[in-house]
Amino acid sequence: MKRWPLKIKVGVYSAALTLLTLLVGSSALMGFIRLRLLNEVDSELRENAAELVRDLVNFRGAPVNPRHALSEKFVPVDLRDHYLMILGPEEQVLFHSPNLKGQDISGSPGFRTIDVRGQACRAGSFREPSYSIHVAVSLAEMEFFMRDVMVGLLTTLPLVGLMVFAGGLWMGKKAVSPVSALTAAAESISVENLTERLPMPEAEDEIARLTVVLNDAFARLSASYEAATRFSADASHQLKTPVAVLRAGLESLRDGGHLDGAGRLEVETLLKQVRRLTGLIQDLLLLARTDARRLRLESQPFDLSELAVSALDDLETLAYGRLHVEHEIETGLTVCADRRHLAIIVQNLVENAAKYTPEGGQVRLTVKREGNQARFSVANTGPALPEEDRVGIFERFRRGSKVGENQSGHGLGLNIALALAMAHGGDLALVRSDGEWNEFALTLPLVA
Amino acid sequence: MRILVIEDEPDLARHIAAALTRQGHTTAVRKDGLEGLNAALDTRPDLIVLDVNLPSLDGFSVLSRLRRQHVDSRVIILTARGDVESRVKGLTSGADDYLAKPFSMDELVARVQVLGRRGGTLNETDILEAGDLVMDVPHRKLTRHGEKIELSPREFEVLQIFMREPGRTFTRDEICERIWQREHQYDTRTVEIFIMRLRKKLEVDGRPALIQTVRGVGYQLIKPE
Repeated sequence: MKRWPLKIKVGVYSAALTLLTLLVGSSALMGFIRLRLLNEVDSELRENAAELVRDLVNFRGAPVNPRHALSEKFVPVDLRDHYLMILGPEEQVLFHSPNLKGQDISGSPGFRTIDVRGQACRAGSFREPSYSIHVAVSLAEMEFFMRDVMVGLLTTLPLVGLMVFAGGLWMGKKAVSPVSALTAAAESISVENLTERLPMPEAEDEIARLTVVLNDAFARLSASYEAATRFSADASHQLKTPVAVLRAGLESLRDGGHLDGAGRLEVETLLKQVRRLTGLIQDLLLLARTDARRLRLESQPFDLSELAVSALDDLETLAYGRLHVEHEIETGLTVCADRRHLAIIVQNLVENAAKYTPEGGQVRLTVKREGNQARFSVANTGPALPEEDRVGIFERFRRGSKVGENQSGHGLGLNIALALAMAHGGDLALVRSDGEWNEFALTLPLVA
Repeated sequence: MRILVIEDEPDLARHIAAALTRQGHTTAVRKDGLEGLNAALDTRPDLIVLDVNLPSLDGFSVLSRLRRQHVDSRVIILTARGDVESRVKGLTSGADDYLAKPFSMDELVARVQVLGRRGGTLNETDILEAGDLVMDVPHRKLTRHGEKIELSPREFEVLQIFMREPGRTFTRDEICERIWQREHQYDTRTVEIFIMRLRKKLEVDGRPALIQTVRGVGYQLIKPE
């Protein structure tokens, strides 16, 4: 029940509550009706008795002898279906109605409910100076009536319950609808539009408070996200000046003419590291921009095959004498993209293929149309990637688990490539890794 | 040339000035935007190396004020912001060239040379000539006496680097950096392969190779007599 939607809960709760109330009310009502009906029976019995007494005291002008038994004729017609006992002053039985079949229904004065031959009856006992009268009447009729009332109530109960449930459902839905709207609005907020806020409802109710709380949470979230991305952008940015000094210094040391061969070689090595550092800073900056969705794209339409031909040029040079390169490049596939960014993606794929293909292996570069997309893929022969690496390989600072630390690169390449591909409305995925070939495919929307 | 360096990072300014002085230029250094602006207005240098992030007045403001005062010195902007936005801003605000930090000193020196020699801006739509070779950069075409020589994209780019500055020696690293720009795994061997392929394509019997190896340093395009 805890897992039911709120509106169902409201419906069920209100229906259950209504039914319970109705049940209690109905039982009270039944008790009350029963009491009233018994009272009526009682007063009728009293009247019957009084009439009898009147007859006894004045039977055809004279009182009846209280010592003689009475004939059945004496009993008025309307009392013939009653049970009747008339006792004399010495408690001798003057009349015992035959329908009693000898059962004694006498008692102390007052009313009571008794059982007469297996039937519930109301009995009244009245004492006059010379007679005591005991009269009883079957309650069957009343019981029938009561049963009818009960059946009537019980059959309406489910109907009422159903109606209340439906009403509760409607009310619950109505009550929840601002929350549903809020949920939908909150769901639509993501990294792309973190600065957006939920619309404030007009009423100053719980929903408004929830909206305020959520908006505050979004504000904090967006502030910390901003701070995080700005930090990496600022940090990369701040790093550039010292690196520029470092580079300029090392270069003037190298070109100053004061170094011997070994010194020069050492400085060259340092310069290489500076360039590597520069690349890392550039990559971090690029990632910070894609994270913050602040990457500026200088997109223009161009033929993907142009890029592929350059990539092939690189690939063949990298693979020179070591790997076999084949290619299949379809021309005329126009994409609208930032050439420099696309070049970074392509360069990554090509470098990786050249780097991870075992000696004597094959690399295949393919550009082709696939529906309304252009597909640029680089495949190389080599062992299959372990299962855990297939997704992880696109993560930041992650490289294949089998890749040793001696491999060059800082583990940002595929992450950047993926981010850039997505910034262009495309995708980058490992589409094949079956022990024979490892294939990465970049897909980009074609210009119509 | 008389060159004014406006750069607030003292070490970087010193190295830039030193490198330019080594090339025979006369250099002055200012470390503040306003000071730099005044110095430029007073001395009217041939060329200004201008940093963007400067105390008291940023580089773009210095540049626009200079242009308003009709100071037509060539300006190379230096900035740590390597993004498109600031490059566009730099070039539209009247700079002649743009260099992202950290840059190679050779690159800066080369660009200074180009700006000085042409007295104009760097132009991608150039027709480059070296000896009997004519390179049509926008159409990516290389011809010798009107006869087309087929080059692969990278071969074309390597040759373009040489043809823009005949006689200058390029290290393998510098060539790598210019072609692939970003951090890459292309080692100097890759460059050697391209040079080898280029030499083969440009070879003419009985003549010395156009691209020569400068032992221990790199390569250069021999200057036509």
